[in-house]
Amino acid sequence: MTLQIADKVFHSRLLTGTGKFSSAEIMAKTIKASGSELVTVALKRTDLQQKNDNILSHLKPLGVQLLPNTSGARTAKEAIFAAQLGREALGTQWVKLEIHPDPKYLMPDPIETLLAAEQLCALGFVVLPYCSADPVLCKRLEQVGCAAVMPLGAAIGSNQGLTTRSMLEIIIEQAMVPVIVDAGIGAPSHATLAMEMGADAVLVNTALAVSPNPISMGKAFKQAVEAGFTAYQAGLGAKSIHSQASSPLTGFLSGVST
Amino acid sequence: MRIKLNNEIVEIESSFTLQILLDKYQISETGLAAAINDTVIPHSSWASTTLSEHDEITLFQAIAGG
Repeated sequence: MTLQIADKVFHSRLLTGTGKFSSAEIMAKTIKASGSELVTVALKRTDLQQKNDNILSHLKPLGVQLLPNTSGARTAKEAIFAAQLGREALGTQWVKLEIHPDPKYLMPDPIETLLAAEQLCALGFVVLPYCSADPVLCKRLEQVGCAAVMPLGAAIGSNQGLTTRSMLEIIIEQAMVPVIVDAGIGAPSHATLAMEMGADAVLVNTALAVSPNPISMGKAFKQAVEAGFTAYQAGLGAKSIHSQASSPLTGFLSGVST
Repeated sequence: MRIKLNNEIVEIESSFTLQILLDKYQISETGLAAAINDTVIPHSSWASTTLSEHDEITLFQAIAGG
């Protein structure tokens, strides 16, 4: 089953970031192995002295939709400026809105994020906000026109998994736009869990990039996301504190003397 | 006249447009965004945007990120 965000349809429910890879070649091969079709990039000031390798030359052959982020922005004003730069640099209206003023925890600022989201939506951007796993905030972001919401599973790059699980469950239950669990997903099992819970997609970066074998890990995440989504569609069985026998207890051995 | 290009002071002719500046410095336009005095200038306006004394031109490009 495909994933639709705004007017675009994706066959993969795994979004990937491009940061922290040991080389652009490994990054590109990992994205290809992961099957990801929506890929984030950041922006920086051009170093005029250094003719560095352009990341786009590695991403364009993959045919993926690029999603510029606003990383580095500390306020709504800075994020709007960054979004405009991303639109010019990459020729896309899509933006991953992220505003985290504190470099230690990188927690998204909910107030500035909502302010920026409202203005960017009004300017015609397709806004995917990275945000706290706050059901009220996610609803407000949806109401101002965001194309999806991206609540965090745990702190960025922490690999802790879904520490916000109970809040994510509420967000998923009430969302009318796709819910993409972003940040904290450190293992394929975390991605599977998010999908089993009914998330529409997950975004993974660090877990891929820091693996000793990112390309294999990309494949593992692809399978994990597909497994979790298929399981969600199939429907999980109810939990019980008692044992429920899987084999019929017919008593066919009763009366047998030992 | 003098302008600032990514915080470096450079001397240019007063007739320079943003496009001429980028051409002079042989800056690749792939994945490039430009702002003058913190206003983003669309690519379609680079050739018609004349620079003024003390303008601060900032260039940005895509890099790896999550």
